[in-house]
Amino acid sequence: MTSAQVPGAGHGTKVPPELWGEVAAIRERLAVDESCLVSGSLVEGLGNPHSDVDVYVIRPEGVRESVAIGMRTSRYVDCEYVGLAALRALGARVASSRAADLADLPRAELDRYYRISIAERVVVTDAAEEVLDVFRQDVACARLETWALLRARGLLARAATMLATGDRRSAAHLAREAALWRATSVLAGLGEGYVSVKWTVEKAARRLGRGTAAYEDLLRDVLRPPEDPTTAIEALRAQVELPDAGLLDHGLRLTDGTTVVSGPGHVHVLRGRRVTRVEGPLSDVLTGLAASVSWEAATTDVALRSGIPAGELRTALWYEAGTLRSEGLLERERGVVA
Amino acid sequence: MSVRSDNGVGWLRWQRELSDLENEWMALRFDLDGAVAAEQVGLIWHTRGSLVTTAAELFLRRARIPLESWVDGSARVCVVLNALSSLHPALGERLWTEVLAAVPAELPDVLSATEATVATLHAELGAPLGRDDSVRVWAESVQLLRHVAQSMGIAQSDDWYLPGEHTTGAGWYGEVIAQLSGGAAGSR
Repeated sequence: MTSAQVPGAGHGTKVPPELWGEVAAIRERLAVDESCLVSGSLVEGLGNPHSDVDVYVIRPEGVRESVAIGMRTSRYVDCEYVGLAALRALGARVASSRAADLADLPRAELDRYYRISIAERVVVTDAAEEVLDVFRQDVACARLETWALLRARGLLARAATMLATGDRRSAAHLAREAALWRATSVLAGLGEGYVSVKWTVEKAARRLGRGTAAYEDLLRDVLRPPEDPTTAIEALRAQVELPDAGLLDHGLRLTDGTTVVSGPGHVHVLRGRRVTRVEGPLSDVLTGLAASVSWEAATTDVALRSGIPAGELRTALWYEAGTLRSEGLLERERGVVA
Repeated sequence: MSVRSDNGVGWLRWQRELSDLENEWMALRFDLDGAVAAEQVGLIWHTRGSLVTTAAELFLRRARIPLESWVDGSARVCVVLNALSSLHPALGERLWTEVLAAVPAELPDVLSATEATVATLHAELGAPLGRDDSVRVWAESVQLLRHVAQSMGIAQSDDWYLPGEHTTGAGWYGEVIAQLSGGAAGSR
């Protein structure tokens, strides 16, 4: 077992002194086969006087994950209890992921991977050390660079679809979110891998200098977006290009046993005792799928009618169908290479 | 005066949703206060936008307005603000304008705009005003939830709260309230 002293005791910790006692108290309660890490925005160097501190207690195999919170005068403490097996699987999944896998990787997993990679190690068992060595900051940055770009492209597509349906405010918001994630991707390529997007502007300030030309250029459409969402979307189309357009162009089909009942401007998707109502362009596509039309043909038809590029519409609907996919109502077309 | 009776399990689920949102609001208040103290303009503005969405969702959930599902945080803003706009068009328009507003170039303007937003959320949606008030509202919500669950015989974990270094044995609620300005009397 390697056992650093309590953070702060001459090891250049970024944990504030008022929290050393907190970490020591958690350390005192550890079992011999448990490990303890400290992470979060403070360790990353971004945090402020009221930032919380994230403590991870790593437990042996087969332990249910849980979270504990403690309120203090000027901040709070989050303690997550995680199993070693789950961490091992997460580390392997992120480290080995290719661009085609990243669209399906939940943000929370990428976020945890980064936090573990930068964490200060308070007490680490030999078994945990082997697992933790898979968590590397450079790998996290590389994955975030791609993941954030995919997300930006998805948000751009969703903004264009919202605009086509007449929801200009949602279109403007999603376009701004796309700009934010594009900036996050660029910064990850420069080594700024902290996932939480609320820190993107501060990461840019740290890396590029607040108010510099590079900072303003990167964040223009985040800080002062165009009032007209059409202008914002056109600008983003030029800025957010994927290395492979097929990365977000996945075909979907109704799962066996799922049926669609069409109504005026909406459909109801039925499976077992579950009823899901869908409105908008996705409802038109679902009507097509129910009539045995392929995803490509159904989306192309809707795209033509709404004036959105077909690939963009498919990307938007892939995301919009997220709930239907997670509920088992839609699945990827078999035999289609993503 | 109003009286409302609920099925216990349904009530617990609803109250749990509210507690989670009050927890989120509380965390955002810590974020905002810390960002202001450190003059982190980006975090101030981002948190301000998140406060709008959280306050609007809390308002709608308290009123038991059903909401469409959303696939991620970006879509949540659209669903929540559009739902509020259907109910209160003028207020919805104001809050959409807040969310879509450009970041002012100068820090004092960022701070005053943020202060105005928080005041609006308090006045129009009943959101807690300060950090202490936010913590108190969250603590009271969790206490109520746990009390009702216990009375219904639903097992609960006691390990969800991390007692402080100098815990007094007053229980989690007592410890949280004691840390607020003025303790139980509290300043808002």
